[in-house]
Amino acid sequence: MTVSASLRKDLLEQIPNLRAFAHSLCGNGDEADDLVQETLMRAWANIASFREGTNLRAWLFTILRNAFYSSRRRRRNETSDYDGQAADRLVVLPSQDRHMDLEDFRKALARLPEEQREALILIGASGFSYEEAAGICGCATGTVKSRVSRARRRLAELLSMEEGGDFGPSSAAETVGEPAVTGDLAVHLRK
Amino acid sequence: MKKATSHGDRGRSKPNPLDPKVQERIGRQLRAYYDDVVNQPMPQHLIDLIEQMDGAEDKK
Repeated sequence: MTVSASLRKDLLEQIPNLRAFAHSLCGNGDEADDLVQETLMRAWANIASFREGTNLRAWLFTILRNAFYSSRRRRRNETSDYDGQAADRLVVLPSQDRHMDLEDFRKALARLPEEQREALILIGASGFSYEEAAGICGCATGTVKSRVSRARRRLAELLSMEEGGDFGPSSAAETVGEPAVTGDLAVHLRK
Repeated sequence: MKKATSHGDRGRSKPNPLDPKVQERIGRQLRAYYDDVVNQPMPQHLIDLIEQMDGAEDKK
């Protein structure tokens, strides 16, 4: 099945976001990239069902999420402690020069129930609306809202932020800017 | 006055709203975590996979 050049370009642009979402779901770099590959394969196989001009990102995120949960179910049948293993992997990500802040945050995020974690990521990082996130997760908008709010509350507890007020000197995280288009991407888009 | 209990409010009753400063801080860290992956270089095999979608393989 041939995919038009403009759609291929759009797919390429989505890779960084798909990888970030995959990371947040499985926490393991290699597994995340396998998941993105599986997502792109499924998207390719079903490209006829995608209407150009509609929300490609939401479509891809839905595919990725489904692929994640189906592989998850398969594995769960193979090993009984898959949850525990996944949580461990999330915690032991390779990190040499990461800020402690980010490392602590990663660990806390890993401890959230999956449904809360994905809702929080979709809303707080991927930039989807509650309606779009509800479509991706196959649940009601109100459910997404309450999951996000429970996720934030739980993170605040885990990171001992719930007291409010004094966080010490402002952190370097404040300088985090817009995600830049990476060199690789820019080069390929021009091809 | 707000009671400063962080324990035992996971029951039915509606919890106090999260401090906006806390919420903002969580949001910042969340985006830092996410963008850390977004800004990584794309793996070549994923780029290659998309390039294969032009159907060139079929014509060979």
